[in-house]
Amino acid sequence: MATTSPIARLAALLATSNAEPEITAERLVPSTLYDLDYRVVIVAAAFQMHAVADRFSPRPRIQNTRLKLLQFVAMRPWLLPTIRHWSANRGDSLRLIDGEEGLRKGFMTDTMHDKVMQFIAASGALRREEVYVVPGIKPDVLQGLRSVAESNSLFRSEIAALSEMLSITVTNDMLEGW
Amino acid sequence: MMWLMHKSLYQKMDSAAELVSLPHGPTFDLKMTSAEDLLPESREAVQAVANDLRNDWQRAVVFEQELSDRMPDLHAALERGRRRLLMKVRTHPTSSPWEAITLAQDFAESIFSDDFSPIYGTSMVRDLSSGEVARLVGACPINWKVKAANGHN
Repeated sequence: MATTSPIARLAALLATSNAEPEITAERLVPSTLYDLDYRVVIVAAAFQMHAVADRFSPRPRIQNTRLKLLQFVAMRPWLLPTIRHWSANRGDSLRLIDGEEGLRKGFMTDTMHDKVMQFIAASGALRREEVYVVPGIKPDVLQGLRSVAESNSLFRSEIAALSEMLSITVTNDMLEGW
Repeated sequence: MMWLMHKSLYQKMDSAAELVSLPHGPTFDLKMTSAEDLLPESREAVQAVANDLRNDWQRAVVFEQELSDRMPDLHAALERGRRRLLMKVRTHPTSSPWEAITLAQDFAESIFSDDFSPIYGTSMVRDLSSGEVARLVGACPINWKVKAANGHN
C-alpha cells in the first residue's frame, strides 16, 4: 500500500532525480491550545470580565462550568454564532442543531481546562469554592496578566469573544451538571 | 456504517476543505515547485501528487478543527500522534531517508489508528494520515535539495 500513498509516490519520483532527502529535527509547532501561559491568560480574562459579586458573595465569583464554557469559546471565537443560536433556542430542544450538541460535548470534555485550573489554584490566583471559582490568596496575579495582555494588544480576538459573551444569556440548564 | 455515523463530518470536510488556507512562505508550495524543477519530465505527476497532498492536508485541518471544537481529548491524541510520527520518520532504521519518507504514510496510519479507527474508521485514518504527512512537508521537517556534484549537500 505504501507505494500508492501520495507521499510514497512523491518519494519514488524524487528518488530518481538528483535530490537528496532531508529529515530535520525541527520541532513541529504545537497548537496554542496546549500552551499553559496562553490558557492561563484566557482564564484570567474570562474570570475578570464575567465573575461578579452578588448578595451571597461580596467577592466576584463565577460558576466553574460557566468559566469552562467561556474560555472554550474565547479560544474558538468561530463558535459564537453557535452559542448565540443555542441560547436563543434553549427552551426548545427540538430546535437545537448538531453544532450546539457538539459545542456542549466539546466544552464539557475539555479536560485540559481542568488541569489549567489546578495549576491556577496551586498558584493561589483562584480557588474552587463548591461549584464556584473565587479569587485565591494572590488574585493580583490574574489582574497583572490581563493588564499585560491589554497593554500589548494581545489576544484581541479572545477578549472580543469574551466581551461578546457578556450579551449572550447562558442559563444553568445550558451548563448541565454545573 | 461509519460513513452514516459521521455523514455530516464527511460532508463538512468535503465542503470546507477547499476553503482552508494552508501556510504560505518557504514551505509546501516552494518544495513542490522545487520537485517539479528536479523532475521536468514528470512535472504533471508531481503536480498531481502535490494536489493530493494539499487536499489531504486541507481535510486534515478541517478534521482537526472538528476535534478541537467537539472532542478536545481526541484533539490532544492527534497532537501527541504528530510528535510520534515525526519521531518515527526521523529515527526509523531504514536503508535510506527516501525509504523513511516512503513509509511515512504507513507510520502515520499505525500511529493514528489506535485512537481514531474505532471511532472514524480506516478510511478517515488514511485521509488523516496523508494530511499529517503533507503537514510534515509543509511545516519543514521533510525536505529535499539538489545533491551537490561531489555527493555532498
